[in-house]
Amino acid sequence: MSSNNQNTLRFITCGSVDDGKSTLMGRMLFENNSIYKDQLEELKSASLKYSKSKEIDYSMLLDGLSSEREQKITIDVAYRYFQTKKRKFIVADTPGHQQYTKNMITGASNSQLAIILVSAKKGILEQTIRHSYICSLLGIKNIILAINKMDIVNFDKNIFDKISKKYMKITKNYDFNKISIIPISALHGYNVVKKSKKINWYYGPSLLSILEKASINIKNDNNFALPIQLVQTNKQNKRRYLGLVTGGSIKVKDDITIFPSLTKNSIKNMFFHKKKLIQAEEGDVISIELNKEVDISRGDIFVKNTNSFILSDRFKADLIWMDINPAFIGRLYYIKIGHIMVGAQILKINFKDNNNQLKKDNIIKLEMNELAYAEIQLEKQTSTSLFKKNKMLGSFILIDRINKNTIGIGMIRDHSNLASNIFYSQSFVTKKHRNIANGHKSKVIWFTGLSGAGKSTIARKLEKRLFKTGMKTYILDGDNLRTGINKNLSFTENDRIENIRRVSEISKLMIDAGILVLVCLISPYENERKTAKKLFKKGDFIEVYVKASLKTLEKRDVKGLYKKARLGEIKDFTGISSPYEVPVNPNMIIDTEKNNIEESVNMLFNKIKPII
Amino acid sequence: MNYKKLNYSYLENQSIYIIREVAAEAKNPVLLYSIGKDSSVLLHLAMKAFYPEPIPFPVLHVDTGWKFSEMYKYRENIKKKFNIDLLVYKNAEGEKNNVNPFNHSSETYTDIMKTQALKKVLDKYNFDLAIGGARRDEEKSRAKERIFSIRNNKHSWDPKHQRPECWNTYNLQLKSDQKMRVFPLSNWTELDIWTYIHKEKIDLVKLYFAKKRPFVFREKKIIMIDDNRFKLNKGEKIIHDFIRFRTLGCYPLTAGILSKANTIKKVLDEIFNSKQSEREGRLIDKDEASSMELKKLQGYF
Repeated sequence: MSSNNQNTLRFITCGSVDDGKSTLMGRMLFENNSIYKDQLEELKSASLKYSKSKEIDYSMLLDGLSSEREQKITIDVAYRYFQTKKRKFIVADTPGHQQYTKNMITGASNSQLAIILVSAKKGILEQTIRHSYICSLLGIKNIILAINKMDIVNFDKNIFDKISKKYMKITKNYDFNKISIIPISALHGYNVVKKSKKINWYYGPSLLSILEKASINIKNDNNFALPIQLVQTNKQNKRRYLGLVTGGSIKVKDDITIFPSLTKNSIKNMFFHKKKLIQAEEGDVISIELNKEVDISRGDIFVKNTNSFILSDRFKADLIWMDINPAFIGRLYYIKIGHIMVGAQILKINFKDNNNQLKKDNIIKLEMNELAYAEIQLEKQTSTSLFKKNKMLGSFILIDRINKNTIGIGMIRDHSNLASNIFYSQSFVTKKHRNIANGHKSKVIWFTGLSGAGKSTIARKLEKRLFKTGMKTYILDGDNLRTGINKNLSFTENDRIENIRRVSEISKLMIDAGILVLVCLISPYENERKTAKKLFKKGDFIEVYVKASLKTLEKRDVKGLYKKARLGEIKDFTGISSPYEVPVNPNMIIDTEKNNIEESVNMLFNKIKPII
Repeated sequence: MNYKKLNYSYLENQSIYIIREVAAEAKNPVLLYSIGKDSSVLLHLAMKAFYPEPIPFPVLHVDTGWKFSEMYKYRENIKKKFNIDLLVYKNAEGEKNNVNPFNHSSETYTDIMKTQALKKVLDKYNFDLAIGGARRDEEKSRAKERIFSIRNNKHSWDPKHQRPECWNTYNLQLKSDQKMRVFPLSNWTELDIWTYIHKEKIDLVKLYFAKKRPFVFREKKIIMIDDNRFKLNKGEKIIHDFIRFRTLGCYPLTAGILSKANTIKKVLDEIFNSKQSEREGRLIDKDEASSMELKKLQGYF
């Protein structure tokens, strides 16, 4: 929680691989007497087993997974808890490897201070800068640069000064309030808990005393905000709104505005458990009763000052990608902001360098662990804040629609200057009127399948049957569209996504015009088919999988394309050199190896006619 | 720092926030309850989170049949006192085959009566999300775990592929073959738990407090004799002295400690000055090196 509790400091240790993060924390816990006897025994036997050493390997206190101990690296963040006479500490020991950056970010997101380790021998490395930059993006203001392994460089002050100077120069544009720099040896414990005589030119306090005195200031701005987490209705049908105060404070009788409806209301009662509250502030979880009973749902936000929140469907944000599959412009994801989850897509990706300066414009994809400055489009107008004003309502996570993983996170930086709010103009004659006039519903029948599976052949015959019954029909054929509107698109992953987007949008217009649309498109990715489906009302999108094995198709090879693809004459050919993801849950499957064309068309006609 | 001055309200707020998030988003959640001190705190927090309404999901005790008899009495009391929708599940197959901690290795016993039992009951009721009282502070593999932690269809944890978890924005979305475990007490330490119990006056099983009880020394551990199912080994003598438990599990597998601490205040002082970790008395943690990690891979919570 973001409460400003001076009793407990949450911090991370980060920096490059092998700079001694886990060893440092192990040493600190050991010297602070925070390791129990039985844990020490376990540590001794683990040191013997994995390090083949009778000396205690302190890093194993933190590296608790057997695969970490075997490889002698940190894979995922470990949390440890200790206390001194002054305060309590929660430390997140994070991995240094670039491939585990997402785990470092997990630890950093809830931290108030970062210890960045540098090896005196190796100096500032790429990961040192990267981790510092990430800390800056995540709003960590208090930094301790611990220059480690001073014993290896004979406690040389020149080396320490050089590294310090370089670090200050690199981070001068970062959003830090305070940088403390300290020379240490984690292995020997010099300057860790106690000051060491070995480094007599250093006059500052030990690392632990810096931690004990560090100020904890991570409050959001003073604007009251309460995103509604849960709505309770009791037997008398009275409602209570439950949530976490994420900024400012609130008193009973205060007037509030509710986003997104912008209706006015006021606080009747506030509770925490059995206790009636007069006032609540940032970090408190409370229940509220309002003076006017209105329709409020999870994700709505109570505010006092409407200026600090923006209702919009577009913003710019620092985006960190965390999934093995890259992010693509135009692909539809879920976004979770506070308690709201909606569809979202990335409109634009720009890179920044480690100096927070924009580097390169309009990238089309983002790989795992890459940072970018991106423009995000939401499916609907949503109330958000800026990250610097409110961490919870100015940040978001992106979720994959299919595997449901958290695939990216972001910090909202800008709502302004966006060509937003283009409202779709609703004409007076609607789809409903057109459907009634035509005597049938307009839908899209989406044929997907490998090249040569029979999508177009089946669609043409089906169209003829439907047309004969008096229906308004039209075929959108992938191959044909590529000679016109999609002429400028190739067969790369990006262009295939764009191809599908355009075809979906055209189909949508045609449906609105009252036409039964038959789309014949390889459409190889489940994600894009889902995205297409999302554009339409439930039941308006019928996915038909035209199935044939690659073996059969290569045998058929009517157009001779498979042969060419095998010879490498056609690049990015679906099924050969580009993937085809079999539909997970299509509305219909036409197996062209089991049924001939006439049978297939009959089956489709009988299924589709009754629902049109 | 002096534990008497500890401010735990941020811990309480975080736990309540997590429990409410489950109620808001999970399809079919359940709260795991093991009668011990952490479970008692968890249950207390869950009641606080929704007061004056009841906890909006069931509470489940996976019973091995080998809990201390005082624990069963206490459980029935709690159920009545708070009017809790409590499910009790025992692995019938294990019971039929008389799987017990005396005749079977602790490994086999724990696997069948705890891990397999938990998996069976989660499948039986189709619970997609189970809230547990585990803390990161307890054990080194638990220190690595997310608050909202994914399990596969076999309830197994994959520590190398955990989801990122940033700020308080939790991802509760699941694929159809995935399940989730949630740990609202992740950031609590043993001392936090006891301070909170003290401050909130939470009622506990009396075994946590010192009393003269019968026990034997077995492999240097204090094993209490709870009923006549206990089998004395050759040369073992029954001793009567003041003992208490820092952690409670199945009775022959949980060792007590010699202690005179018979009030919460005394217990707090004792823990504050302890040189041993609380799970020191858990024999099942030490079956093999990294054994908690192994158990978690198999579906233990």
